[in-house]
Amino acid sequence: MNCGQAKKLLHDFSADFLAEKRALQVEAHLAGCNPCRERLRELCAVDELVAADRLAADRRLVAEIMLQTQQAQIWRYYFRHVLIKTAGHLLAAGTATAALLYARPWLAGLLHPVTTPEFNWGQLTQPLPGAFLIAALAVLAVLILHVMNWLLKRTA
Amino acid sequence: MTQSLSLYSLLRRGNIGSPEALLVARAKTGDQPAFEELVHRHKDAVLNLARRIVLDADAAQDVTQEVFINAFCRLRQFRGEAAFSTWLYSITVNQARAWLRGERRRLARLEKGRESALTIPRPCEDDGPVMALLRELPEKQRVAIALFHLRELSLADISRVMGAPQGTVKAWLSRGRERLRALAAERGVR
Repeated sequence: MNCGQAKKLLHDFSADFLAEKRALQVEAHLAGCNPCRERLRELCAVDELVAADRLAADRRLVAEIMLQTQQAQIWRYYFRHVLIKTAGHLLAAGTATAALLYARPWLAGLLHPVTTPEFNWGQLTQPLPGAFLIAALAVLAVLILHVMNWLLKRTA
Repeated sequence: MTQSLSLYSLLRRGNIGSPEALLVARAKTGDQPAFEELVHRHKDAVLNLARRIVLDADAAQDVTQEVFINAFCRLRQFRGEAAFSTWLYSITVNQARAWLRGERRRLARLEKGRESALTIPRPCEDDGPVMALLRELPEKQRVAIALFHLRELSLADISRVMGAPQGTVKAWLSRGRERLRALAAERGVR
């Protein structure tokens, strides 16, 4: 191995990135080459210099971090319990009310036998107009509650 | 349920013996003292990594705060595939680079004269010789060197944190360290 090849490998050698066989070749070259040894020494000296230039985080920083995380937790709690829950319940209740309003004639028919004895039971066998829409609204209300629960679990 | 699941995943990966893994599992359930212990363990490493990337001690403190708050909010996303410290360093690198982008945008605005001259940043004269050397490196080389000097990360970890192939990271490290060596020799920094 000549100096040019060794120079290219010195960084990986000092960082311990080389395979054993290659590292042995570099070591053999270094044993007999003063300039390359000096280059390696300089490289290691700079590494040590950078590694030694360290700051220690003070107590105030940790206290500030903990305060902020507590605030984040409080915000998450309100997000979950106030925002998501209220929005989810309002949406579900609104959808269910819309379904009930749409189904009102049918429901009135259903209650009719109780209020009027001459009610014709055959009326109930009539197909419900807009039954599909009412079912869709009911499914939507249930779906909203599921999405709300999923969001609550995700942000827990 | 969440706690038992995360403990199960730790057992499955054979990390159960590590107190840090248990701390992470506890912190995931909202245990503040466990998270505080994690902050104490990693605060210095995160601060120094941030400082070597943003090259400003005050900004590094802000970045460190952001990193831990981010980590706290995203703790549930940590699956334990890599070490907790590696995950934390990824957040640090992203946060520090975002700070640098913001700073570059701010300086660009300053050049256009939209901000007051009072907000022009002071030159960092108290940084010391090492920061002055690091300032001469391109951002990617500096990030690679900052991660390398944590002395905890393998080449594979550094490459994962930086989102670049190992060969590329090796090249950034070589060029960066060579430039640092040459600059230190030229300026007589020892």
